[in-house]
Amino acid sequence: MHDGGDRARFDTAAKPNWCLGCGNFGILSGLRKALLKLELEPHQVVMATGIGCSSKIPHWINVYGLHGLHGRPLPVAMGLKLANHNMVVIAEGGDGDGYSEGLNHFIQAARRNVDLTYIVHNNGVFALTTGQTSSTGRPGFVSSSTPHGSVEPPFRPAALAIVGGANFVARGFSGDIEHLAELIAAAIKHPGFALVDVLQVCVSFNPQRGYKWYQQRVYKLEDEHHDPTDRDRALALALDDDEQRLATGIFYRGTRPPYERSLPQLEQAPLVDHDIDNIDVSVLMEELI
Amino acid sequence: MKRDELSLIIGGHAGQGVQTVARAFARTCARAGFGVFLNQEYPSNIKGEHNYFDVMVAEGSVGAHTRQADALLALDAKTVNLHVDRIAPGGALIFDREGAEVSPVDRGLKISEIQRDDITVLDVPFSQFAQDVGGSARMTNAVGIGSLHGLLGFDFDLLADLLRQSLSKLSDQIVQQNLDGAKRAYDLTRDNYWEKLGLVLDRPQARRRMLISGNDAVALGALKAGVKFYSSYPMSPSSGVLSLMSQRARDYDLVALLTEDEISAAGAAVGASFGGVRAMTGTSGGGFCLMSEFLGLAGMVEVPLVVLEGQRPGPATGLPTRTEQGDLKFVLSAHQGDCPRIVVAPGDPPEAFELTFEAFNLADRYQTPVIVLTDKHLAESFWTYEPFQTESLTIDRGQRLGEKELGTIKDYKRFRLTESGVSPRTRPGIPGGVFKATGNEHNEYGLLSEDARSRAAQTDKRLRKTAALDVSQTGARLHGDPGAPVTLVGWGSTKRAILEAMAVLKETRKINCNFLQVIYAEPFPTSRVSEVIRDAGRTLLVENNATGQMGDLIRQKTGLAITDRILKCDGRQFYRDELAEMIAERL
Repeated sequence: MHDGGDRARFDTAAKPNWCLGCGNFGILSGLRKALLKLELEPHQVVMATGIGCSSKIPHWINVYGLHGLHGRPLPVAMGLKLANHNMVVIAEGGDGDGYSEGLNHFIQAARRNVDLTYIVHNNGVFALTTGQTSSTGRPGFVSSSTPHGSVEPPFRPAALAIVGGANFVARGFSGDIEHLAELIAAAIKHPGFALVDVLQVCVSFNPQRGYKWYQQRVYKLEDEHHDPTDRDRALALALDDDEQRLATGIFYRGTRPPYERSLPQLEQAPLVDHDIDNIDVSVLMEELI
Repeated sequence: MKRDELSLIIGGHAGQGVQTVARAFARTCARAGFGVFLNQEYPSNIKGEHNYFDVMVAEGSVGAHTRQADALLALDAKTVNLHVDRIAPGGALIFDREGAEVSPVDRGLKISEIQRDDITVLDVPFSQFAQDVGGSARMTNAVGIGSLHGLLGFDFDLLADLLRQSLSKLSDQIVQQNLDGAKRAYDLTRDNYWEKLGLVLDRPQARRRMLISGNDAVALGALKAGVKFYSSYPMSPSSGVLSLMSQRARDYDLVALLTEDEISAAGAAVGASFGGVRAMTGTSGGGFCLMSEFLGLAGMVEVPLVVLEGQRPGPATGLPTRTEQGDLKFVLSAHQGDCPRIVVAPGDPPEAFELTFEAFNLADRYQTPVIVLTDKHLAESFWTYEPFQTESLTIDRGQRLGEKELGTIKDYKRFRLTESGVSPRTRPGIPGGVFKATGNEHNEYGLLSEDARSRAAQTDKRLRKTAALDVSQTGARLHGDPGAPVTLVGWGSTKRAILEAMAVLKETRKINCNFLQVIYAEPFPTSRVSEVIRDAGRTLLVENNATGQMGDLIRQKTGLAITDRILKCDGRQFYRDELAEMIAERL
């Protein structure tokens, strides 16, 4: 563990190339604060991200990172965790990445419950491709793909995660960095798949929903004494369509053990520390005789 | 007269347990010391459709099946109609004329009149025998195999052991009924036909030999190489490897994971490999379509990745349980841009074992994807081999940096431009090595960079790596007499059929051929292949596909065109007698 002295240890020399005022800055700050709060060292953390503005995040935080393919951070993260379960593994991407292209991986990761934290920058719009409506975009949203206004209802990712079997489902807001850092830290500490869906401001392609719009509507579940072990209530909250009151905080927290705990082959040491010289396969060949 | 080899067909419909007895029969012959080859022909169906198995049994080694068979064991009516023409003159048909089963999907089907006076027809009442011992129609397979054992004069004890083993999940009473039924059929054929027909093999060489499939050999090679992570989505003909890995996961301390799709299978393997373990994924052509984006990523971020691609006839779902060499061009070019990769094509189980083992070393050494290209014929056929030698196999994990080495480097650049193109790598978890990898173009640190010079330099670096792999010796092999006037050119699972067709041609027609087997498709053994083809008299290409994909590759790499092409694309492997005739016709 770190002595807590070097508060800049997760900073990088390179600076993000996001738009001025982008919600991604708040999420990056929240992530850094969470890692500091947990007293982690850079080499103990690895990130797998997809493609999009948000998925570039590993370049601007000092941890191991694989900035991979659109929609695919979760399979990569799963492989990483099973290869070396001593690592803190964080998957991250946008709503287009995770809730459109990679939706199957998302629900399956919730079901399988490998211990990883999945942070989604959810702004309802494809930003890096210059503004098309995403699957969490709101009805009526006018964008380059929906010039007459979107007619599709949005996904409810927190509800999908709960129904999929996730045992840690939270929602944060990119404009409340302290709260977001707490949620991310709790997600990392949770053993098993943990979703942190983040309401993210996109100043360029969804400016109608700026900081002020969200600040007037978000509230904290803990302030209303929500019991996160109550799954039915959590699901009802996650399905709530009232856009005038947006819940943030931990919706649901369960106790299902993570996938990797069912594997005796990981008990002694992480796979990556196994010795592979001189493996004997003669017994297997004998069995074929 | 004793023979040195017998060719047998065992057929019936899916659900009759034909595969169970055919495999068990093959294993019994192998244990008795015979050389065995088992080709499995079955449809993509669980109950009812026709399936059959070619079993070659030999005093010595055998590796390909013949169209002409010495005996046909028909466990249902359709099998008689479909295969009676394949029985060689002097051969035998064993079936139950009155009580022959008819598959539910063939309702009303009758056995056609048998117009062969040159074969012996053995009418063995399988269903009556089964009833006599108090059993049911389900026992037809055991009774039938009893008749085959009797015809060949094998010891009944061999069969009894085999049945006890393969029926071990059933009650003692049912096992006994199976044994009793099998004995009735065994006695009938042994007492009346064994010596008369003379389908008798010479004494086997009696060495301890495995009965092993290509899938078995791939799994063995991967386990020996220290695979720690195998992720896959089921797809014929590679599902067998997933089963083997899953069964052995706890004994060999690895994770075998059935993922939600092939994208995830490839992605998880990339993640595990990036995490520092040896990782592999396996599929067929259809799944490989989905994996191709991760193949490009592995090439771009320089992550070692071993991919098994067991081909089956395409496009689309094609023939799910049949064989074809149709994906060569696909695996060579499935990616965006210019992407490094290595592609190896084993021709038999020993090569599948060695090349899979080697694939992990190559992937680590060159930090790039390596594709092991098999097909259904190699994956799911069985051959006898002595246990593989493993002493000379050594693990090479390539250039890796630990904490200590990283401590001596001031400015670690994961994608440093080096002469060989290979940049020493480290893995997450190692202090002092934190780096980024990205599927976007990047600089030496792995950070996003669209700089034109850096882009060109990184592309050259990635492609330089495998260009340095010298396959002039290992990439192609010339079998047989180098001075033979005819050179057959092929690759992959046609190897044994080609080798045995050569032997047939030499023995029966005095035609002398050699065989150039291409083993590495990428990088390509250009100089070796050019040299052999230039020196050859007559050159004939033999491929199990419609267009001669290896022929095209050879032309692309060497500029030499092989115009004589023997191609087969019906979803079935060449019979060796068929292939010998096809070759002779061209000469």
